[in-house]
Amino acid sequence: MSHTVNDDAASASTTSPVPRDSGEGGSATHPGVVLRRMWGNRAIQTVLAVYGILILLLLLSRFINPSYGSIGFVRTVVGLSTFTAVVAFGQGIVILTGGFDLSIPSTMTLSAVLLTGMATGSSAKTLWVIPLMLAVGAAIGAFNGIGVALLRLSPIVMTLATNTILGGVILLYTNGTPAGFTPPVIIHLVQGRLFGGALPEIIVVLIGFTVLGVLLLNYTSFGRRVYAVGSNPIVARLSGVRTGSVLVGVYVISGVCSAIGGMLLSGYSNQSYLGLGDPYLLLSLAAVVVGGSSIRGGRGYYLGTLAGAVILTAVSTMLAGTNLSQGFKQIVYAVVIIVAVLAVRQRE
Amino acid sequence: MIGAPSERLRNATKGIVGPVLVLGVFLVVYAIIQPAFLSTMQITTLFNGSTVIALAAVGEAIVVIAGGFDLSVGSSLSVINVLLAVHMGQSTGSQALWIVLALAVGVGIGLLNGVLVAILRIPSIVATLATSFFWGGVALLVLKQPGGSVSMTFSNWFTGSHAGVPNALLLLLVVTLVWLAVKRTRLGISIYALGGDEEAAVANGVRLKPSLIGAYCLAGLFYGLAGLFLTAETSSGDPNAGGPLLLTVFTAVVLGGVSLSGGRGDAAAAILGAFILTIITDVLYAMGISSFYTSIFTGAVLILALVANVWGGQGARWLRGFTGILGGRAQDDDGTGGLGGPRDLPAGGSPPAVGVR
Amino acid sequence: MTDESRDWDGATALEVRKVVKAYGATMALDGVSFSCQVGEVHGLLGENGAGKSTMVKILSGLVSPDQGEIAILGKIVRLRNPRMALSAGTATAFQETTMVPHLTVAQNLMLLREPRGRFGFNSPSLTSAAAAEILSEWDAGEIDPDRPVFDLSLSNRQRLELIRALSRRPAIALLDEATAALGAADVDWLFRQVAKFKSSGGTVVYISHRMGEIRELCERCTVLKNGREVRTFPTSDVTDSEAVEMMAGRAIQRIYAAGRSEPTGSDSVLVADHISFPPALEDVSFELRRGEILGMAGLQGHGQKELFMALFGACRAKGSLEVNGKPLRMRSTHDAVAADIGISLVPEDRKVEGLMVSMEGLANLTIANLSQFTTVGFIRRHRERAAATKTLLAVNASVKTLDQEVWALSGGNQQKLAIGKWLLAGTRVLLMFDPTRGVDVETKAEIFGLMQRLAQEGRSILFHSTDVEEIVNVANRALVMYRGRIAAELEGDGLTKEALVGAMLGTAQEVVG
Repeated sequence: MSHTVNDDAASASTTSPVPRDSGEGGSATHPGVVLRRMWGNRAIQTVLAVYGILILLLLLSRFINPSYGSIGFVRTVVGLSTFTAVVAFGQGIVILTGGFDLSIPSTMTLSAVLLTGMATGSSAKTLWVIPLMLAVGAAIGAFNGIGVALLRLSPIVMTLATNTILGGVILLYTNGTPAGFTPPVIIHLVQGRLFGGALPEIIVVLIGFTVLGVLLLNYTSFGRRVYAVGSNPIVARLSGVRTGSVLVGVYVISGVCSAIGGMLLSGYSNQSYLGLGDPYLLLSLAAVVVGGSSIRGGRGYYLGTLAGAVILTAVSTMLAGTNLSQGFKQIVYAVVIIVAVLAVRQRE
Repeated sequence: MIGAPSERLRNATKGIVGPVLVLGVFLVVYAIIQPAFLSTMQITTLFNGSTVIALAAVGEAIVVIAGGFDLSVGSSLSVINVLLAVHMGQSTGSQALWIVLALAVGVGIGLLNGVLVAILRIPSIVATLATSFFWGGVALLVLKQPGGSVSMTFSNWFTGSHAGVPNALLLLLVVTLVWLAVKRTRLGISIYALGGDEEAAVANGVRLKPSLIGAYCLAGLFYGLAGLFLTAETSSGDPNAGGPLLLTVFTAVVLGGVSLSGGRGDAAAAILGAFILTIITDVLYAMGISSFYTSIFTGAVLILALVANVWGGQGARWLRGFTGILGGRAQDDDGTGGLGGPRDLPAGGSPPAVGVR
Repeated sequence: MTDESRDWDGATALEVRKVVKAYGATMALDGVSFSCQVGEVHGLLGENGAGKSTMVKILSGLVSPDQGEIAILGKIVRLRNPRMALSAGTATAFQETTMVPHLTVAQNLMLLREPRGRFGFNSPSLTSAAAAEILSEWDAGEIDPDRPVFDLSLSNRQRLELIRALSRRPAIALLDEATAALGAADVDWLFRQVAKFKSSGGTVVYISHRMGEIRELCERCTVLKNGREVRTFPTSDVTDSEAVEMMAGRAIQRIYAAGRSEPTGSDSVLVADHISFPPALEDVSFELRRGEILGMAGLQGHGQKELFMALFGACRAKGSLEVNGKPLRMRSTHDAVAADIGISLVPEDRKVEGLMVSMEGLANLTIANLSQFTTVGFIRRHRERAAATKTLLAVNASVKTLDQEVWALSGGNQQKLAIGKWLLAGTRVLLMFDPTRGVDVETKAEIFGLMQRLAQEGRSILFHSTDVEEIVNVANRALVMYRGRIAAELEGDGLTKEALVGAMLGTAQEVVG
């Protein structure tokens, strides 16, 4: 959609003290117009493009294997993509401000080992262990945020350092071998099903999380400030926005998301293990990028990121079902990312 | 020109002073704790332990100076490693051939990255993220499980020593000289200009595509060297050998004083960063501290090094509580790279007011 | 690259023939033609949006025209990128300096034309020496070639930009708003260098909006308006007001139709006491009365920017402030905005400091006062839109701008949004730094009218402008800054152009930066 550089107002008559009519007629409340207004043309175009790719992918997948396009397949894939989607929200909101969170892997692993270590398979203990996990995630995020906002350190390096430090902490805590089992309530949350097997519980978690995430980004003043800081931190500051608090806030959110992701993962594998979070650094980054967000910040849409997470999970699930060697799978993965990024790219 | 020679000296050594000091401190601590460290064998071991990271970090630093990030360094090392372990034979001829091929593969990896970034204009983080998957997959295709082997002569050639001087040291010296030479070519200054301010550089005739591709290819060459050394060290192949090295390489780059926002720093200083890392580990080990603490300590050193960087260079500004708005375009020159917004787009030009000047 | 020489008369240095450039639906250049003779200094005039900057970009190789031809010294050239433009014979000193901040003066100056040392490598000492030679050749020998560019003052950076362009000895030098950051003495310096360049056979295309400079430097001018060339003429043939009429199509008097305002009250809303932020800002004390439009005049770089920043809390200055009778402890801009009646700043460079260009108008308008529409952290969208719409009507901007991304809007609309943001936030004290910069004549009139209305409603405005006409016609009282202090306070009949200019110049011509 091209925008005209010289729009109407410039040609209007000038020094009249009476305000002009806005010219908006009865079409103002048409749903299409409202939606476009709320989210902007660019957002809609980008998100639609990503979902287009996703749908195309699912349709094409039938040719590889008839069972791929089925509801059951979609259900499984969407459920599996929850881990990436949750973590990608945190990564995404940090990227919106122009930063990166490289501490996701260790935060995930740490929260997983703490969960299994402290709750040791008891559902009752989760009542205090889970809030503790979330607090730990938040604290890690705060640590990152303070380094970035207050000490003005590069986000890449700060979170990289945090990741390294946490790696050591994990080793210390577990003595090299994570102990304990995941509490049944978590296992049930991740692997259980509702409505007599029709709906995996984890999808409910995903939907709930998505709703919260979209609300936060698009409908709260905090979300607006995040976009402002990412678009132009100087202007944000000159507009009275407390950029420091916003920065700390996004890292805290990312820390909490990583903690949640780690907990969910431990529910999937029934236990925790070293390196649990490692694949998710690249996965979260890829989901955000494939989802249409700008890597430099200021532009991003969680619905797109969600689709990106599902695309990535779908591709890896499909690949897992083939006879292709592990190497080939990775190569396909790489090509998919490049193609998706090129396809979703907007002309600026 | 007041004080011109001293100014030039300051410019030339700007990126190095910090890392040299830190390295010096750690060396002294190490020597005190472990006097035996000063023996030839220990020194050689130290070099052999650091050189892979050092070489890879030089390559990564070049990309960072050019304004990008290369996440594919780990996979690049893996791929070269397995190729050598599987295909390199025992004969001198085969070894010579494969050394050249390894370097060529490295350059090829860099070429692919460069094309994606410079021609398709995919942001470097995304492009190299994808290529890291790609080359990791290729590595797995070449060698599914750890295995393969290389000849002893090959290993010794890289990891041995002559008259007390580790071969690795010579290799690193050559690399440093090559980099210093490149720095003084058109490519070198273009890399710095692009990393410092891409728009300004292009507006003044810097050729973006060839320069960026050149930077990535040069980095790939050094990855090739690193892969060779890695293979010499482990004497075998492992398709996942390089994966965990990504973060370590970045740490070495930062400890070497290279700014992550680009345009500044000396790539060869990353070598110092790599050594600092190894020495930290050795010092802690010598002090009897469990290896679990190494990571924590490394992370802390990283943060401290950065804080020192920021505060040292920014001392006066920080105190004034300035937001950096005054004076010229909004540039962040304190190493915090990453807080910039989307670039401005063509709209509007000059102030039109007609009036007294 | 075709190589025809089409009956070249040997005297035409640059010929631009029917150049067309469109951005989407907008015609930035609609068939523009003009030419310059060898050794001529040719002025290029026009309002914002007229096409000047596009023309500069085309001639510098940053942008390719859709149609049309460019011939340099008789040869038709295709300037696909800046490198080709340089080798074809053009060199540009851009308005926004194109220096790489962390490289030294020498490195920037000699970029890609460094002298070769041993074995063909560059050598820092040779580069530095070559740079020093060039600097002294162009009367700038006091600049140290080994300093990093970010250390230089704004005016020296601009001088460096100019020297770099001229020292390349191009066939055509393009100087885009060359004096924007220069003080009076530096402007004289520029004129001397241009004369030097001319006498060695160089041609200059001089883009500016300052008629005084155009008159002194340019033999002929071309006026652009709305992407078309209006007229090319010898400078002496046309008066200033005729030129402005050509550029804007509207007589100059209408800008100030509203006339001066009177303050509504005598109480002071803002009392500044011994504000200082050395070295630029020495010691400033003044009062701003309710409903007053207080003008702040002064040549560039005498501390005005620092003062505005200090008053807004964007930098930690010494001194004390009283807002609406209450002392204010300012630690951040948040404090300024939240203070009793609120202080706000419409900054100098709206694209960098005033607006978030990638976001829509709506978001930009409401960002300073989101809490107004927020309950429990959630934004009430319809309330937000209603308030924003009201504000847009107040500043006379189209409601369509609410949903358009700001980078796509005209300069005038952008400035209106930048002002509107603070209206919506309800701050009663408005600091406006050069509010009509980069704004076309129509919008300028609107903005001044707006300022009058705001003052009448009881808001208090402190505005800075380098344009003496503006201060005389709009402000009811004026302060003149000179060397970081207030040199004069003028009011009523005493507020005249002559008095202002006299105070601005102090007792002697000042070198700034």
